[in-house]
Amino acid sequence: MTPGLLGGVSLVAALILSVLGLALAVLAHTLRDGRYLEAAKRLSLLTLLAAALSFGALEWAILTDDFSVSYVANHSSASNPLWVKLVTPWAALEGSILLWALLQTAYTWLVGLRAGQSLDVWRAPVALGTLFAVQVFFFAVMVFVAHPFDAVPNPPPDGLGTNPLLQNHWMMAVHPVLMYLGFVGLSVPFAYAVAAMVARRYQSWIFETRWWTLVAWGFLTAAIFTGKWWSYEILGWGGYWAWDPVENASIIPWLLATAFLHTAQVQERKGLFKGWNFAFITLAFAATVFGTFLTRSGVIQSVHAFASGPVGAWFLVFLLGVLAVGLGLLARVSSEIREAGEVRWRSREGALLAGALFFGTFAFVVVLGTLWPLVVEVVSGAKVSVGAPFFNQVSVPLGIFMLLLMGIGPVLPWRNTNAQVVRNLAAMLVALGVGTLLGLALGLSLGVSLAIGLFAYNLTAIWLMVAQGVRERSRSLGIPAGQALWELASSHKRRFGSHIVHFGVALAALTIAFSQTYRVTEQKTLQVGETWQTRGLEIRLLSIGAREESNRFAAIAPIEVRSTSREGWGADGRYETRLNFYPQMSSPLATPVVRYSLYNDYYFVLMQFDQEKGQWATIKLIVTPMVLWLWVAGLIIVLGTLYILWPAGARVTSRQVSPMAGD
Amino acid sequence: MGWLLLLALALAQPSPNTPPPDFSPEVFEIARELRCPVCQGESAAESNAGIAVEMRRIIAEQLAQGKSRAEIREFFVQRYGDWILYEPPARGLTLWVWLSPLVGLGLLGFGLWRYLAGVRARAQLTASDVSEEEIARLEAELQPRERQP
Amino acid sequence: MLRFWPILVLLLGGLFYWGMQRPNPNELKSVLVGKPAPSFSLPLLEPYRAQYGPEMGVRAGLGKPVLLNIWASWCIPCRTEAPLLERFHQQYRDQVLILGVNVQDSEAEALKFIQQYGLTFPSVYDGRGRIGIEYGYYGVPETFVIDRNGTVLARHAGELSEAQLRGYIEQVLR
Repeated sequence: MTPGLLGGVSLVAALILSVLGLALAVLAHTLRDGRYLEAAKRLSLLTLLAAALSFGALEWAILTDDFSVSYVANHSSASNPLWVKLVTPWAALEGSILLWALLQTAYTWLVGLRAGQSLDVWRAPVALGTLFAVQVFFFAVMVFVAHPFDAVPNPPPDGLGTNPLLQNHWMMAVHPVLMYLGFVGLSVPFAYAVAAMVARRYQSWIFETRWWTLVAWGFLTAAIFTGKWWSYEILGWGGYWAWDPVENASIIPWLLATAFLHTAQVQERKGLFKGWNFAFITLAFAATVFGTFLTRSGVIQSVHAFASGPVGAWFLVFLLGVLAVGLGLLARVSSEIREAGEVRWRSREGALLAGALFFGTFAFVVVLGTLWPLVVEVVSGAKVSVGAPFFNQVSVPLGIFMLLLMGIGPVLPWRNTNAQVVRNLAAMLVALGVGTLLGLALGLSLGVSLAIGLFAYNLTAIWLMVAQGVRERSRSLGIPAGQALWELASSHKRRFGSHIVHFGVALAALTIAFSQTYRVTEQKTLQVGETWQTRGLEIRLLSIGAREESNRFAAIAPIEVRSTSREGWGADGRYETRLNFYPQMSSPLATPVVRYSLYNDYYFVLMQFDQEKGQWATIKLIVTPMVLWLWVAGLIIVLGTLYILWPAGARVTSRQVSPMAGD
Repeated sequence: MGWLLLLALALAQPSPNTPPPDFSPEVFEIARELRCPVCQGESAAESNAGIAVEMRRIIAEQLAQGKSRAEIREFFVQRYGDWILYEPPARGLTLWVWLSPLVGLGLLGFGLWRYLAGVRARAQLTASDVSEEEIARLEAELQPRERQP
Repeated sequence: MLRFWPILVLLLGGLFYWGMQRPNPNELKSVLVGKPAPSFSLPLLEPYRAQYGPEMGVRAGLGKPVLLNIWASWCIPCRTEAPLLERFHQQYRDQVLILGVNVQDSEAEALKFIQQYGLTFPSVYDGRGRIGIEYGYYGVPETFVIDRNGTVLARHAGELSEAQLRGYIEQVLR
């Protein structure tokens, strides 16, 4: 039993089992027979095992340097360090699809487990069937087009090695997995939506998928932030988001999922927006398929692109299929969804809808911007580029509105406003004004000052809501404020968790404004021993040396940095800037040395050095303020999400006498 | 320094061994708006490709000559076309991508408004679903029964 | 409005299908086509100085069509292309000037390349690729076809095949 054989067989088994599962689900639906459903649920576990076996076989092949397997020969090397070998499965196309399929089987199995409680026998088969159909697609792609376990007739002594960009940082082990967990996670609410539309039960799916959507959203958010951090640490350009088409492909589902999270609440409370929610989740899931299509089809140029091939056509058909199923079903049932109700704009529902409006517009803009070069080429044959400067400028006004709405939303109660709310709003606007003026007084730009104002505005909103709730509870129950806060936080997890998440978002917006506006890049060539005085720093080039490592060769230029003024605070230290030379790359990879501080980040990159005598080196310095806080903000958002999701312990006995305002 | 000779041989892409000029922050700001022609989607500020390095040098020289940012951008557009700019020109077909936020807001906002109006209309309709005649009959039924024996 | 969803799906599908079917998605059309070729004068590589002088380049009034070939020693397709160019140089040397521009390279490596393939057509040294940028190059090899009036007729990105090279030569000799 070789890894190649095991992997190939279990892959085919997984495909067959998925087809069987789909067939059973279809039978359960058409024949209204629960026994087929039970069989499908059991099959989902078998499919998961087959997929896990296949994935394990791939790992086995990589770890044992089995170059008779095509994937290993093409993407691995005996000289790779152990941790690189462990993550090589998702370093290239075929393996990444296998990871995706594996995660999909896991989600399908979990849905099968929970379906007994949440889904009736009319809908469970459709939901499971949809998930099985997605699995069938991914396994079929591997079996027919992108097989990881193709046998290599004359196994080479060593493989071609892994892309060096993926070997530079341990984040490679984390970010892609998180991203796939998020992408695949969105298939579950989509499956529920399809089931809802087929069974014509339009309301309950929203409650049932609350948890699933939040989990998927949480993974997506974590993936985006870790991706930003990875890019920042690795690529040597001092930025964390380049609006690269594939980065855009991950933020489009995130934007749509965020819109959906919020409009779902409107449907929960008032039963409105049913059709819109079906559309949102269809588009969100389609956007994840769109992302995988972009990376694997060669349609758009990107640093993230996998090698293109016939896979692209398959993903295109799948993408169109998802859109057709979701939108087609919606078109069929939309006339039946006869909703009646009133939505006043100056209410929580109004704010949520307005927020969804902006998130949807933002997603629209990112899609259009990413595809516009292709559109222009189709229409006129000309080549244009739509890149970071465009997206950065366009996201500012949209971001401002979204931050304003984020503050107002929780403050407004459901249905309509009252005097207390008006007072709260006034306080928030005062905070906005004060923050902005403070920024301007400090000599900061208008954009950054506005960001400070918006941060203060959102902080005030959260503070007011929490303080109000605590005050009311402690007053009506006669308990101290601390206990009231504790009880409220435990019983209103969703509300408090969303406060935490919104705080994180406000902080992220503030750091993005600061770091984008005040980032400075400079470059200078230094002789060994020479000192460079700039930006409150004194940088001295100590020497130039070399080091040989298992899979690369590195030129090292250690520098000593001293901060000479407050501007360069936190930079002191000795750093080894390096250029990594990989045998399979024609030019060296500049890997930055990043020095974090609470205030500025200092980024040192070795650009070039004297190859003949080793007397000079060119150092690029990037100073970015407040970037550390962006990662803190990401952590806060993820923690807030976990807080909402955390299973409620012993519920605090409902001792509320008066309902909490606005809840 | 034998290892350096080894290094020179190891380099598959030999390049001239002269130190590059020093670059001010403005060079990178301008380079960030230009595309690296040879790379897959990196800007001239980030890329380490030979072309990008030379582009930064050209930008530095032109800044020293007193050229404006617009003139420097124009220099590259004359040689590579609009494609070299990461910010699409606001005319012709690419004007629409600049208008996309307004278009998006307009489309979605219009859809939202239509939907809400329809929902409200249906709410009012159900409120007045009962006809006048039926209301009169109800009123009559609710009158105290005077003539009951 | 929702009933128009098939149109959206078809449009998207059509757009992406076209995007995937494009023969050369990364090809960039040169904006110099139809315009006068930028003039320059660069130092020749050592073996050619005896015959052609210290410097050479494209300038107005040359009176001869030029095939400007941008190459580098580390570029693999250039190795396949070099003997082809050499052959055509031998055949058409009186009618067409085949001029090489060595970019992103060290002189030593360039000389080794010339020796290895026995190239007799002149090549100038543009170490950092400045003249390449003047011509809007985005990779190597690239060949610019310039007619006898100094106007750029075409830019060929990538390796030249014999048929294509013959086609360009015939085009400039017309």
